[in-house]
Amino acid sequence: MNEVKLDNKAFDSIVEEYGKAIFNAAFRIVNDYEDAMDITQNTFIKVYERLDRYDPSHDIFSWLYKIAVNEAITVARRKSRTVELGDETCVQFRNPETEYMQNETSAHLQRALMELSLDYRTVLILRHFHGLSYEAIGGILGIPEKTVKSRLFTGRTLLRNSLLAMGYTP
Amino acid sequence: MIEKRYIELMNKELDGANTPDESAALRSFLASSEEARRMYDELRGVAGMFAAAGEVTPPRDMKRTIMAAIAGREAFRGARRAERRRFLDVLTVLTPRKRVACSFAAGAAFGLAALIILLRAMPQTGELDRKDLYGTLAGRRGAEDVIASESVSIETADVSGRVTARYLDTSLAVALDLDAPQEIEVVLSPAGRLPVEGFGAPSCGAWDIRTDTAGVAFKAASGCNFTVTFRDEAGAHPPVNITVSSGGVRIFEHTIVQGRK
Repeated sequence: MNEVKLDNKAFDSIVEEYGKAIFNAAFRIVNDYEDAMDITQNTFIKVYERLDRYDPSHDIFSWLYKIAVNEAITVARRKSRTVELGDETCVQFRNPETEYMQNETSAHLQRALMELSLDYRTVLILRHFHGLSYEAIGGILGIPEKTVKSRLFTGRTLLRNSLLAMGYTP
Repeated sequence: MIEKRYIELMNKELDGANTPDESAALRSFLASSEEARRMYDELRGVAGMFAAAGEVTPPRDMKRTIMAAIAGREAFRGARRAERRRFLDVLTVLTPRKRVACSFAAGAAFGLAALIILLRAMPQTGELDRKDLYGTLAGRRGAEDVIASESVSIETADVSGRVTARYLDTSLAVALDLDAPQEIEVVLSPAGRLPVEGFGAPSCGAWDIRTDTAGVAFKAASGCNFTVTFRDEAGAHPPVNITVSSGGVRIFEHTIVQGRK
């Protein structure tokens, strides 16, 4: 067993530091509070179980994101096969959206993001919510930097069109 | 219509990825096109929305839930590991000598089981099973059709049983199932001096086989099943003379002829 694995304190601090970011990335991708929580939990469980395989020369943050985003994409794809998204179900909250969203802008943005395909949505979320570079996004998604740029530029334009179509001027 | 390269420059500008020259080119273009300025402002507005949207607040007890889930998982895995250890602990309790004995016993049991499986997998032998004949030629002839089969019974004070001659396409197989209280000597002599091709002795403990151009002679200690094949390439299907002796005294003689008792 790995030395890091035994150190619960160290792992506790990893959850503390990255938990919120992972949860947010998951939520923005799947648009479901409960699913986002499950994804976050599964991500940390997977990380805990694979700590002995972790290469310390790599950024743990990217590793966490890679696992979380893959989990979230899997959940989103599964949901898209079973749930027809409509205006009423587009933003999933347990309570009024303001409980979790800081403001109305956040809700509009989320609704517009959900109009996009997963490829564009994920790149936009990683770039704008998490401020990741093209290279880092490419590493997490396993795609070339050129593809990241292309998806980002197209995604941004599509998002703008979506917001305009909703009557929201960005 | 805005050129694609300027849309790309707008996006790169938003990401802070433009070189100074690219930024200057974009600024110059934006100054010349109202449509482009509007689009750039909207794209900048989209990027600004992300910053304004802020974070979604996760459940307050998220960290505790995650750590509890990990602890639960670890406990479950620990229990499974302990179960496996308990099984292996049996070996550690034993003294080295007993461990060796256990390993030997386990190996022997495994070997015995493997032997039984192998023996069961082997084809069962019986009278006139030509698969048991020695020699590749004899094996090849196992696939031949039986053209005729002639039998003779032996019932004397010193030997009893049956001799069967089977005439095949290009060979002759003689099977003997004899029971004798003392050692007997059997001589098989097919007419035409057919060469001996193979022997099969699925239930004999001992024999002493001699062959020559006149046939084959062998000794059997007691009751015994023998099969002898002779090559008969021409398909002559000759008569076969059988003699059985005990202690140097001939006790039975018969000639089997195809189609005649």
